[in-house]
Amino acid sequence: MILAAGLVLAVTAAACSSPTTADGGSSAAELPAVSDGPATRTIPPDAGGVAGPDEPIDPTAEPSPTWDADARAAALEHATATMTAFARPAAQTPAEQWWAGLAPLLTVSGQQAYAAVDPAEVPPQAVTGQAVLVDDTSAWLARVQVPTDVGDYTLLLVRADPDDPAADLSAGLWATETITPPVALSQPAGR
Amino acid sequence: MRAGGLVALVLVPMVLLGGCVTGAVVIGQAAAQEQAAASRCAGTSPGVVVDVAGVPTGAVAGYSGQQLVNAAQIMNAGAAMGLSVRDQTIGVMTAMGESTLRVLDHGDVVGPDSRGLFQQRDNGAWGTYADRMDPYRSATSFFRVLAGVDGRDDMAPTRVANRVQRNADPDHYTRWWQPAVAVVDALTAAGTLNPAAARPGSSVTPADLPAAPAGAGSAGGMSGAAGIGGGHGGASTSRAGCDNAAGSVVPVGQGGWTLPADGPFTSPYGMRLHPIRGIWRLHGGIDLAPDCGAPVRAAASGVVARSGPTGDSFGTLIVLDHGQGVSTYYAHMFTRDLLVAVGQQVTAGQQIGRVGTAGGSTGCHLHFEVRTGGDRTDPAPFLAARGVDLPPLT
Repeated sequence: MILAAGLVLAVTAAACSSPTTADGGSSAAELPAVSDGPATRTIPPDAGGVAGPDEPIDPTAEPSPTWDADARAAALEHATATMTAFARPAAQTPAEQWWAGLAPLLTVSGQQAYAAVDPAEVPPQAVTGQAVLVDDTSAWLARVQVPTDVGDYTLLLVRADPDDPAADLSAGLWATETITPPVALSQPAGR
Repeated sequence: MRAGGLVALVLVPMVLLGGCVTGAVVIGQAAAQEQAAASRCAGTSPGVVVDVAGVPTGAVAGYSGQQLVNAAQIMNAGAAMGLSVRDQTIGVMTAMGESTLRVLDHGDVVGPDSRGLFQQRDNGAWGTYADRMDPYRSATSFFRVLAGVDGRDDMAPTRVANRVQRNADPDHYTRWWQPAVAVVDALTAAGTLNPAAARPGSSVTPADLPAAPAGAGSAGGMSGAAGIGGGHGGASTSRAGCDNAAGSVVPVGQGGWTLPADGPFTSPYGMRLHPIRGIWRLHGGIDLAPDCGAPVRAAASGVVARSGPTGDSFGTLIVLDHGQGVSTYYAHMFTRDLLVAVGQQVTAGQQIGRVGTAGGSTGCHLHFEVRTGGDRTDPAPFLAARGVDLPPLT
């Protein structure tokens, strides 16, 4: 029994002292050690004190976006296109086809976010009216409400990035970041 | 033999506590709580087995009685599979967002065939009707899929849940994360069980005692307690992969602007010999190079116009729109260290990320740009005109 206790102590000590025990290793192993702990440089800086080369080499910056009639029309059109693709009836649309229609309309992070969605879980089946721009506070962003058969969805659109090789500019000026359901649809089933 | 087993069972917790409490005393209560939160966020705390029969009598975050028993069943199903406290909390969060922690014998509009705590559908993926209506077995089905989600510790909890549930709104579960944390902490505090069956360190009972050190790179857990207690630049306990909450705010001067990161100031704006390409190029911003993981702060109040990977040498980029055609750019953070989402309002001095070395970069630093009307401008005089002086160039 003393032996058993000693063994436990050893195991415990290991668990308490090593930051790399248990299941924390997966992500930490892949990325340099950027952490909440006392920070360490994983790669030494350049000798000259220059920490690193930086920005896209093209010094001509993209123009700052501004609102105009074209941008507004494009935002409404893009939101409607996104919602139409999102709400395609799953019964008639194979999942791959549904995603092929939706993905090009999304931002890169939007694609990461919506990639796991099962179209059979999507409540709306159709766009039922005109899209409305509900927030144009920032010229970079547009919040657009789109009516559907199950209520008004709110889409957050971001200006498509002409510098981003991953962006599909054929989709227009805008890309969709989030597709948020009406409040009534975001309650637990128990409520 | 039987008696020996009993004594051993009593001794084990004492040994565990003895091994860890010393450290907890050294690092202090607040630091221990911060560390516990950080290790939860990082997914480094091994799961705990809680006492299903000993749930709190009152309400926790609005959940009580059978709801807490169901949460305990979910936690125990996760622990039995060797999952972390973070994973357990994601399970509780998901059931809150699906069923309010009740074993529902009905579905919803989209899924009339959905049943149980997790509203699992009758499509063969989630077992029989009895499986889906059983708290422990339905949770086991949930966790079986969750365990296969690669990189989940770097994803927001709601996104992990969405990978399993495949629901239409990937952000649906966000608002149940804090309630789930409260319930998991309360159930853990109410009593843990079966220490020998769980992983080493998993049976430490007090909720405020971290069962495992914070993320990789922290100062060696308990043995490095002094380092933890010393703090390190007010590192936030939230992280993009945890709850996507932005971090602390530092005071800002009257001009409404502040430094986006601490120094040293390692590279100015202007033409320079490119360190990798060996050609003269415009360096379109400034470099500030505090340690890896140091806070990146909003230089002024604004709205997040971009936050994510770029596919170019920025690696990742946060863009803040400050209005009047003024925007600021923050590059090279790792995706997991982006603490703000597109559309979010931020205040001057609020932490928006952590310094990293993603993209075209040879060491941890923040590349910071100011653009007015779309044109890059030298941030040094721009900031100076607003009462913010850079540290001397090193």
